[in-house]
Amino acid sequence: MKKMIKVLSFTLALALLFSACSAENKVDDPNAGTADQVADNTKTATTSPTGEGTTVTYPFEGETVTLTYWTSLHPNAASYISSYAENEAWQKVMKDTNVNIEFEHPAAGQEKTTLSLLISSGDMPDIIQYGSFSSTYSGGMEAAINEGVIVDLTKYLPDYAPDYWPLVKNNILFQTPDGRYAAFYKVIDPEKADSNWRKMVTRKDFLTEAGIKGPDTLAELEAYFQWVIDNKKDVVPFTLPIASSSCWPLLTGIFDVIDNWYVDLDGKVQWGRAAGENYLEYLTTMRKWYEKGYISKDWTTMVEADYKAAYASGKIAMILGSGADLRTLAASAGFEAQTLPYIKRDENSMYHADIITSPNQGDSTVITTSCKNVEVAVKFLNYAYTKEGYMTYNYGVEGLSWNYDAKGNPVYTDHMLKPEEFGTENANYIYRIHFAPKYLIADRLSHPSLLSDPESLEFKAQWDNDPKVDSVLRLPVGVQLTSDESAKRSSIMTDISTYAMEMQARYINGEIPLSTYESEYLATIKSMKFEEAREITQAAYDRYMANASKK
Amino acid sequence: MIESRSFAERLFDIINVMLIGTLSLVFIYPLYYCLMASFSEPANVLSNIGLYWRPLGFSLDGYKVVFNNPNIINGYINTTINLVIGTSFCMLMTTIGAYALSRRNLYFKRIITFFVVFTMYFGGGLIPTYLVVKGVGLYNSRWALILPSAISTWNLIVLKTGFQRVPLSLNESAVIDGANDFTILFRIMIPVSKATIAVITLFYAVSYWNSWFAASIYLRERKLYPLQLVLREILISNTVANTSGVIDANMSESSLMGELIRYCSIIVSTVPILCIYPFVQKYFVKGIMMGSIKG
Repeated sequence: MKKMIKVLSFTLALALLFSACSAENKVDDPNAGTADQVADNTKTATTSPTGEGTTVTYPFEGETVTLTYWTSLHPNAASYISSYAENEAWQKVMKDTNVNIEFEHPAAGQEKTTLSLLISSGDMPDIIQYGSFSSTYSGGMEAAINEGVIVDLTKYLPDYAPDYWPLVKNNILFQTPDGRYAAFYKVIDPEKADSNWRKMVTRKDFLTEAGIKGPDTLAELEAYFQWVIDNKKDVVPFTLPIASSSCWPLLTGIFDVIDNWYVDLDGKVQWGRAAGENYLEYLTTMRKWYEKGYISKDWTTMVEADYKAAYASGKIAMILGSGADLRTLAASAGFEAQTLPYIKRDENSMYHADIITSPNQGDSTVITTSCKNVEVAVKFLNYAYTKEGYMTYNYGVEGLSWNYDAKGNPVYTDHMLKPEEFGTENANYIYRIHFAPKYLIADRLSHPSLLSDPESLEFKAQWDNDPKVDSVLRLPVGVQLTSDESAKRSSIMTDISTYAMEMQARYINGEIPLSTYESEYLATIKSMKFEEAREITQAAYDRYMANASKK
Repeated sequence: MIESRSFAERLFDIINVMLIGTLSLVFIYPLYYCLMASFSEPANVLSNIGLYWRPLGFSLDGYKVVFNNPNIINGYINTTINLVIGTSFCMLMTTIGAYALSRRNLYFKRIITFFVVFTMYFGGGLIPTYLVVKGVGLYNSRWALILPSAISTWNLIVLKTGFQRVPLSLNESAVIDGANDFTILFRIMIPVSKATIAVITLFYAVSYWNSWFAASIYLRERKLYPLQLVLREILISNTVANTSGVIDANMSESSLMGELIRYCSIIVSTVPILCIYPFVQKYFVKGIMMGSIKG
């Protein structure tokens, strides 16, 4: 017994001893570096920090600062380079700013997990570029600032980002819900943006055989479907996309309904799938199509991969999706794809589109509190919005990948358009910086793949200048909800959306007669507190209109 | 001597063989399906619904894409190194641990066994594990894949039970001849439990061959990536949508190939293991106590 006690106490003592020698905890004090850095950085800022009118000169003078930059390596580039440090455009940017960037790339597909682990371990890279940051970190950017994970950029931007600041000043789209600035985003001028990529895509040979020129109205489309049924055995004319697809507006738009929140011609806010008579008309037409066999009987069970595969193997004549993607799919399967214009109800109607190009194009980039050179980081990220900077980001290395032509427009050289080892789709990620917070120049002007192949450029831009398309119904881009309103509305709408999609399927398949539309469908939606959600949106819209008229 | 078997026995044999034969077919067919699909034309793979009996249009396109990736050779090398070092290390740790736990006169045996078994049911979770591995300094090194998972509790217990079944008389006779514990372990216990050791080695080897998650969170340098991670990246890059719609030589690396690449990567990663298995199989068939004096 005595021996036992001795041994026991000895073991306990040993254990206590070892626990005392724990590794040193490095707690990063977020404010530690700034005091010193202000002194250091006075040599790089050319004027005193007073807001507008400051300029930053590149390259930075003094020692080369090293910043760690976390971003995902695009799979197209990963087959050829192992880090963006080998990307020519990044190399030039590093040289031009005198900042050394150490890239950290997570494994493909594991970005979210790796990021959460990095944040929780406290040892974060200086800059994190991840478009879904606000949905990965619980509470979004606001919580990230409050919990000391990322730096609140509001006081840094006016002084150290003189090119980015005017683009985002007072623009709620770039702010957190409480009005602070948390990240750098890809910025585009909505007037100069690309056109909508969502299209109805079918086969060119079918259209030629049927003698139809890009069906323009509802009646022409139905005639095309009928032709497919009559002339092509075993080919289904059409199928509906999956519930979460963003292509629904292509169909609902025919009936003046946008599958989202919108404002009708009387100034009243509506939600597409509860829009009274118009939505009923849409459902009735879809039901008619289903009965006539225009819509595939399996549409509720097919996922995107299934109907894309069916389209490629010729079993379905038309699907909704990305025009560019389906064009290559069709080409690999041996036929030519053809997009359709927006379908209008009849010859005299307009199609009311929902396309909103926000100036904020994503790729949110934050500076973490582990960064010891916040001003340098801000100034570095600002470079992408200067003229020199954004030309390098968007086009690559001047002289190597592109040159100015006589009119002062950039023109790609063969280095970019005809790279020997890999196609232009890959060169896009190796010779220029595609995903990054920068001043974005639209794909149709800067994507090497498109510019190397005028046919695909034409394909993408077809139907862009359709005079019968307008956007009178969509909610203005500046209509914003506060975070409380937004949370409340989404908690109501999640259930309503699920119910609406379920009922759509049942109405179209004929399980439930359309006569119950008002009595059952609309009534149920109303009982799920839909009016509250509508009022919230209406209030936000009225607020926006009041402010807009003041300016 | 030819035994005459009764009708019942023969009927039993026939039914037995039929049942097991059907089961084996059911087990093997998916692998056969993958093999046939991997040699087919990409378009046919996408549109086919149904069973394969032969490749639909012979084509090596899928394999070309997989092997053209420069990281694949690296992946194979890394996985092989991890496997060899990892499995030997694991086996060393597991046998020592199992031997110690199987001795009757180990102090605190009950408590230690309890803690060990406890880890089988409960774990800290991803983030604490990550913090521990990082704090110890294993981040971005090969050892992060080997050390934290060096002992699998399940295998440890199986081996411990195996050691416990070895008759004490073998032990005692060795002690009389002047053997210490290490000698007993390596000269007597392990040779006697060859079958169990072989099974556990195979388990560890296969888990190292299949591992990708630990590598994805602990490794930063791409040249340390194991095979499965490389294959995963190939798969992802071939299902990424083509954003520009350009039709050129490289466009085939797009949606059509996605399905085909899946099958090719399954074959590429399974075939080496399939080749090694027959060599290990003889240990499973023979009994536990082969080659020793019983009694």
